[in-house]
Amino acid sequence: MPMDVARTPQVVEPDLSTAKPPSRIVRWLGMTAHLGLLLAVLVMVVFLVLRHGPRVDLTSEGLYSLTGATRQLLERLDDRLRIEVYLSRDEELGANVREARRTFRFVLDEFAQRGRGKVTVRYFDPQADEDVRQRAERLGIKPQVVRDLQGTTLSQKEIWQGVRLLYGGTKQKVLPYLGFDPRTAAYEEVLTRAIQAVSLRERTRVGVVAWLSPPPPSDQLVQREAREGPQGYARLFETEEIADRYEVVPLDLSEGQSVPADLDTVVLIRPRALTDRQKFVLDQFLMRGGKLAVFADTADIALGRRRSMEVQEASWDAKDSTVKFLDQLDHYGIDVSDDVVFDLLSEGLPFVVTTAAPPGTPVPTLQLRLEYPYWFQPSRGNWADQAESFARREDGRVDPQLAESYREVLKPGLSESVKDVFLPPVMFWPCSVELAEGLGPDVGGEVLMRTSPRAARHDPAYHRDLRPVRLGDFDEREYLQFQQRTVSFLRGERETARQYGLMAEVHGQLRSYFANRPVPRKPGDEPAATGAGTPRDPLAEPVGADPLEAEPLGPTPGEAGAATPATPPEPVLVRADAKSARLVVIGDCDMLRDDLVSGEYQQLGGPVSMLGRLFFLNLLDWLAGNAELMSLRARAFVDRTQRYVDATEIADKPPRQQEEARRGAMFVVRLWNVLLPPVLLLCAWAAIAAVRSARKRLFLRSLEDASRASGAEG
Amino acid sequence: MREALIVMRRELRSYFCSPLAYVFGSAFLLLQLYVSTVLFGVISDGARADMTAFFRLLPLVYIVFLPALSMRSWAEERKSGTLELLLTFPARASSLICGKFVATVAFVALLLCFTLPLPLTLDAHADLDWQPVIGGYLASLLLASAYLAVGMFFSSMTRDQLVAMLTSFFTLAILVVPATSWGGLVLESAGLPADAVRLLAWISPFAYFESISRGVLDLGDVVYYAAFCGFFLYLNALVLRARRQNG
Repeated sequence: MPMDVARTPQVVEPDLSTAKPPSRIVRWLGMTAHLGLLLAVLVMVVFLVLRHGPRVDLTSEGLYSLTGATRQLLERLDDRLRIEVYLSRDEELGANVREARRTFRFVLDEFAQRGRGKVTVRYFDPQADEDVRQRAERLGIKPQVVRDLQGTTLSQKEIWQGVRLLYGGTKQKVLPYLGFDPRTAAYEEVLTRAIQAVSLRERTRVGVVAWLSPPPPSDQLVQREAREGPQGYARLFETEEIADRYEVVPLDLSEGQSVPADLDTVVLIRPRALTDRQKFVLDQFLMRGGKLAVFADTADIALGRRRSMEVQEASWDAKDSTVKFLDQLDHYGIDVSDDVVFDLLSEGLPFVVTTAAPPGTPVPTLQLRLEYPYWFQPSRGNWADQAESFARREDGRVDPQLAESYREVLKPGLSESVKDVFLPPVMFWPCSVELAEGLGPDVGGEVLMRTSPRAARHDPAYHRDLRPVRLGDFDEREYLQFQQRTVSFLRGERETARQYGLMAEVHGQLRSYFANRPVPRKPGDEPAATGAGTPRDPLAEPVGADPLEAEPLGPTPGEAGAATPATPPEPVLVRADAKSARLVVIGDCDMLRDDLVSGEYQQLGGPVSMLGRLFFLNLLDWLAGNAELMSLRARAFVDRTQRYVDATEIADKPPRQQEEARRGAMFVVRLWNVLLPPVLLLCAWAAIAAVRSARKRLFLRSLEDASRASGAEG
Repeated sequence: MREALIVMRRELRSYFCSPLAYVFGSAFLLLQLYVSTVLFGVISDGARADMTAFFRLLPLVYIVFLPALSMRSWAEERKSGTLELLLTFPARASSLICGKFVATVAFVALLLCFTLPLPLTLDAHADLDWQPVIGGYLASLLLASAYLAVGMFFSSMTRDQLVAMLTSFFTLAILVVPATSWGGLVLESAGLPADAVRLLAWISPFAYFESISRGVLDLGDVVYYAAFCGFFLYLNALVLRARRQNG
């Protein structure tokens, strides 16, 4: 039988008319699966982009991005840096701090990326692994205990957020607990500082000479209260940030010995009763190219525990000195005045007093914030931008010529060259510091910090007691009298807006102050009767490697005539050579005092030294040329304070009237902002309704006209 | 595209001609500006010029007002019978949805423009950083888009505007409240499992609003809002398609 010829298979079409449609359940299941898949894909995409997508920081200060300084530091690392992060799970955190945790992870990721393989970040959860927990505890990393409400049960929860940095396998630094802050800048500063400390080969040595502040007066009210000792500056040097990077070497100049050769930077805090020999030593330090910072303060304000303020006489120079320290500074190019400066316009610390509340008030006491213009923080803004407001006359009109001159004369509170370096600290009873006239040919300098144009100065003795109100109950009249005494200095200058310098620096080839003066001897060094066995001055034979080249001056033994008894060689003087020195003078030292830095008066309402420590650290970095952290610290604080009332217009009014003036101005502004937009919206609606109504009338009229016309034709 | 533009113009015209939109808009502005400037102290002598408090309040004020704005988008059409007519037009459902969505978002953008006097006032009396403010307005618009997408979806599900408004309101409240600092605590103390609260907080539009409102533009946040709006608008399209097929 022959094989069947292969035939084209016939396609049998399904009979759709009889096919059963998928059931509703099947359709729903299909739809659900479809949506579930879509959702899963979307979640994945969002998760991936969140984890790895770019972030753009829109803030002008760059609060949420790493600075160039940090990036440079990471690129310069020459050994491996391992960052161990001990974190609780993100799910354990409250919603209000999750953003901060995200920022923290972002900063760490950025550090790892910028480290170019040298920086590795590893995360550990101490709560998930007992070994990890024990290791963290051995390192000193501690959790913070927070309260957690689960249903009706209140329990305690541990939140871990500590870091260990290990550099090169040998050096480590531990940050036991980092708080929550949504700003990148906050984490960056802490981590960058820690990386710098751990990767530093050696700390920079800084010599410090500090004179104690005067002992406080005994407060009248509490007779039993013993006089406390004078205040020092120990708290300043205990600061971890300073200790990490600088080795502070206390210098003793009392014996008149020279500054050790390995010290390039010396800081004087509140110099008092300087002998001629000490001035000479400082002079020679500058001549060998040293950097000298002087926290000068003309007025000695003895601050009592209850905030009594007694103005005491202060003297820069020892009783038997023949040269004046202020003249010496003037010779180098810095003019320090014997005065106390106050400022009515710069941001100030108030003097807070607690007083009995008026009858009928629900609280027994009230806190009043009194304007106290002797504690102020120089502004970073440019006062020239407000030239017109200072040129306004009594009748309210602006004097254009005066405004123009103010635009040229007025300067920023902080000089452009250091605007990104320093955060201006709050200054307490500062003295004025300006550039002297006629700087040397190879000497440059500038005033770095200034008051506002509404400042004045007076002799320290003008106010015997600088306290705005006496101890005891608050007396408003007494405060007004204090204001009158203070503002009366300003009245004479109301026609002229004038700024006073608070910090100045000179640099270059400074000339020795003792070039044409007899060189002072060390204490106890008397000229011998004969030339034999004459003790030589240690400056000629310095201890250790002294790079100075000594050139003897004065008569050498044997040169004089036979009748003249042989005298030992004069102490040698090093003339100004090619080395460039730097001298910076700050007109306040109280900002560094232990009692103000540690906040001893905080319970009473102040004063507290804000940013004094930070300013000191920035100054050391600036003098040592360590630029990495300066811009990092300075960047976060831009003055964006709202001001609705001109402070000078209400400066001489009582505190309650000042408060009322502020409230009145704010009320008007708030009223405009709350009512104007909805009123504008309703007006827009009314206008649109009117236009529509007019169009409708026109249309109806045209219809009527058309029907009349067609009726007439018909 | 052309159909979407036509629908958008029609919707905008109806907003501008409807007194209800103006009343709601005025109430929204009054509440938002009063609470932020007076109670939260955005305008305060001596304080830092910062719009963060203003933007932080917006998600909660939106929950009250935006469902009212979106409730009429489909429910009114269904009730008045114009939806069937609309669906017979040779226009894709996506065009219809896009047109309505963009029109509503545009109206909200216009309302936000009426709040501009506030940052202008701050700038006149302080040195305001404008870039985070622009970021905040962008975040507000993205958040409003997300809320409106939810509102439009529920509006397409019912013919009753009130039901649409209430379902959107409660849905948004469930999504937003767990992500706030106080909301999570309240829910957990009320007995809701902590994992559920955390999950809700993770998917909440509020959680992705915070960083942009502060001035950090994260691509992930923008993608989140695009995905969120896209998902609910897609659901909206499915509902309309089903109506068309049934219809």
